[in-house]
Amino acid sequence: MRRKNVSAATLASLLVVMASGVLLTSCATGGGAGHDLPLPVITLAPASASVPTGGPLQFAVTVVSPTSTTITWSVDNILGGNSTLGTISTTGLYIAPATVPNPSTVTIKATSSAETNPYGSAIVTITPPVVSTVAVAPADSSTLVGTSVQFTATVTGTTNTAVAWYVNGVAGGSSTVGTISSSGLYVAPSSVPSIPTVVVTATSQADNSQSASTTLTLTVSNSAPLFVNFGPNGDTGSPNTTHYNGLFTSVTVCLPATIDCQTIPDVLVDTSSVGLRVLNSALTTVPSTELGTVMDSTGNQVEECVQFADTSYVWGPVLIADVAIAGEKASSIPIQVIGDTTFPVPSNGCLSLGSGPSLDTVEALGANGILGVGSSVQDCGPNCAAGQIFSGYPYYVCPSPSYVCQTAYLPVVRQVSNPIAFFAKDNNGVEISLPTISSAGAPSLPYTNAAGTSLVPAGLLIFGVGTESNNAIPTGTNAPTVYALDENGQFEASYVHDNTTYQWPAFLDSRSTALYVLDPTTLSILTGVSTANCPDNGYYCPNSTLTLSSIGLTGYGNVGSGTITLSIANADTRFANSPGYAAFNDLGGESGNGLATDYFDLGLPFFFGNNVFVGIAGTTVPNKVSAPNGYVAF
Amino acid sequence: MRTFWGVLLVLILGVVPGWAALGEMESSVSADQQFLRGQVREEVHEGYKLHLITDASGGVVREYVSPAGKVFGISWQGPFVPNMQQLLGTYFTYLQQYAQAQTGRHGGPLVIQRDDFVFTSGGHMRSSYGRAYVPSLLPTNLSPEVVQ
Repeated sequence: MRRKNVSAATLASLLVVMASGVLLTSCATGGGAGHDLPLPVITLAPASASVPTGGPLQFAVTVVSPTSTTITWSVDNILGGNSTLGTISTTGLYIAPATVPNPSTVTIKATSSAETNPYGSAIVTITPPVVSTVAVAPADSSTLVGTSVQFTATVTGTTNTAVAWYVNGVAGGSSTVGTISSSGLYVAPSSVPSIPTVVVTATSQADNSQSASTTLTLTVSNSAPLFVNFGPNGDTGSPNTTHYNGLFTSVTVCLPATIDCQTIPDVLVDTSSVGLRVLNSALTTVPSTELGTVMDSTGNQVEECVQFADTSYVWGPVLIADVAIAGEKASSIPIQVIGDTTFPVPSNGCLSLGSGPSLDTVEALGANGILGVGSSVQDCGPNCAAGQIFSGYPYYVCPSPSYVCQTAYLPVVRQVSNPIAFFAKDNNGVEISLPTISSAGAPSLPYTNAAGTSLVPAGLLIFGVGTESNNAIPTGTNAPTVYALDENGQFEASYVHDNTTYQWPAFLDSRSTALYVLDPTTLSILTGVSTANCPDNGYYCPNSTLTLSSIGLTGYGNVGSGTITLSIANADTRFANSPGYAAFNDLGGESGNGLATDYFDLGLPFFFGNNVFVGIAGTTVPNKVSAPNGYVAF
Repeated sequence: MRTFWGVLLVLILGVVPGWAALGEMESSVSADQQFLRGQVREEVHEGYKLHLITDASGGVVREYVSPAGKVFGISWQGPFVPNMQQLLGTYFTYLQQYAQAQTGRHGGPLVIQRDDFVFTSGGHMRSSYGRAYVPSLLPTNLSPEVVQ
């Protein structure tokens, strides 16, 4: 039925077009063709077009000989059209229907009110919606169990912006993973699911092949999500400058004893340092000038210089703030603000100055701050409280009138402090739990694809050890080994090769981007895999992935003994095969340049697929072993 | 594993002018001692002399002196990274130059292995350790492994 109309209309259209020239010619020659007045000739532009459902299409009508006539518009001969075929206004604006009609073409006519109702026509093909994007917000967020999150979906390319919502692929979700309403209101479950990260997906109702997904990580008051990504500097496109394996969380800084707070994202989580250090530039709504000050015994404002192992350093004042992470808060503790230039970096101290970079910008630090959750309560301790100043001493004052900075003693209670140790509860240590990732790496933690069909969960930073139902050190067959730490916060690694036992210091360092262990020559000898550094980026590039199995670990005073296995891949191969990936579990790098100077800096790759406990010095170890300097367990 | 054939001399040196640093003459050790505010012990080993400077925090700086009287190697162990400008002297510029060439790694140790300068710095807060030596200044037949 409709096909016939279309054919007729097409034919009519052609006739009109063909006739127009003929009629104009005949008019010009004065022929009346039996009419007293010439009939108007009407043409439409475009003569044919495609438009997606819901889309607009403006027609232009040209009327000649004479031009004075009234035009009416129709769709498939229905004046003004309708919701099935689309509508057309008195000015020729066609709006396609919300769904594709059957058949998918309609005829637009502009008809003259003159005698015989001459008309011009055009053919319109209505196409399926062009959903160019679906986006879901907020992206990769976290929320406490039992709370709700309003998600929004933005659909472009179609007027039908309705979406269907899914949690972990289940329409509307479930009580286990949380529910989501048709308006995108997500209600978290009452407890953290076995995989703490869920996938929220919005699928376009106009085109259900189009969807977008994001992740939501569920926490409780003593746990914060852990993200692994490139950080605020992103992927530079070059392995030589890209910051892989960055472990991040968010930290809230408040003016002491107030609700004036600012949540700072992208703060590195570091088991090898202690205390919160934030960039001055990251403190915007809570400016550093409004934080409490810390004075030494002479009443001068205290500044600090911390040199890291790679000889980079941070400089800035020690200030008092409330520090909140997840649902826990440390009240009025000393933190360091990096890059406050009230006092310049002292040339007579902070003295490796110039060898490594000053990490005083986001670009240099690759983060907004560092959250040190290591095994001590303060960053320096009794050594900085009295006695003698030593090389690399961190605390300074810069008194008037010269404002020349000089080293200063600082009682331990005023030193930059481990926020966890000052929480009201869950203050005896942390657990870092990261999921297993593929040896090919992962784009990020968390990660899900657009369809929501794959998931790499976020990790969790859990406060307290053995203080809550979620942070007990497992017992029985899953029990980890508790390694007591020596006075330097380290334990010992050993390896047997050719009946010789080699020993090195070892420590956990979640801020290290790789397993910084041994050196190329030693690795080649121990594993038989020819190993060298990559040409440009300082990671290991062995000929093939090498495995160091049965590495012995021993805690201080022989408290804790076990073995681990480390795999180290060719970093350049990993980067080349997994472009855009930020997380890798087998990056390695040299720690020394010979057996005598090597050690085991167990960086972030060690944490993937692991639950690592870090116990603060002076706390009671859950299994009652002796660990006066703190412990690690995994 | 290290074998000392003898520790011949233990003394506290007096203060003399001059800087102690890698590549400089032995007399400069005293300046390091002054700077580090530590106690110096001198040991004579086969093929080299060793000055140990121990400070109040328990940190130790070792300076290795060749028979020609030059400091060919330095190592350190202490709570924080020590003053490299002081310990490395003119070789501090080597550290600056070579450290900047290593760009990919983050958060871990610094290892420099060049023909004219070898340097490692590692550890973590409250525990810093490392060493530096100049291969060309190494006494004949002495392994760089002595610098540790």
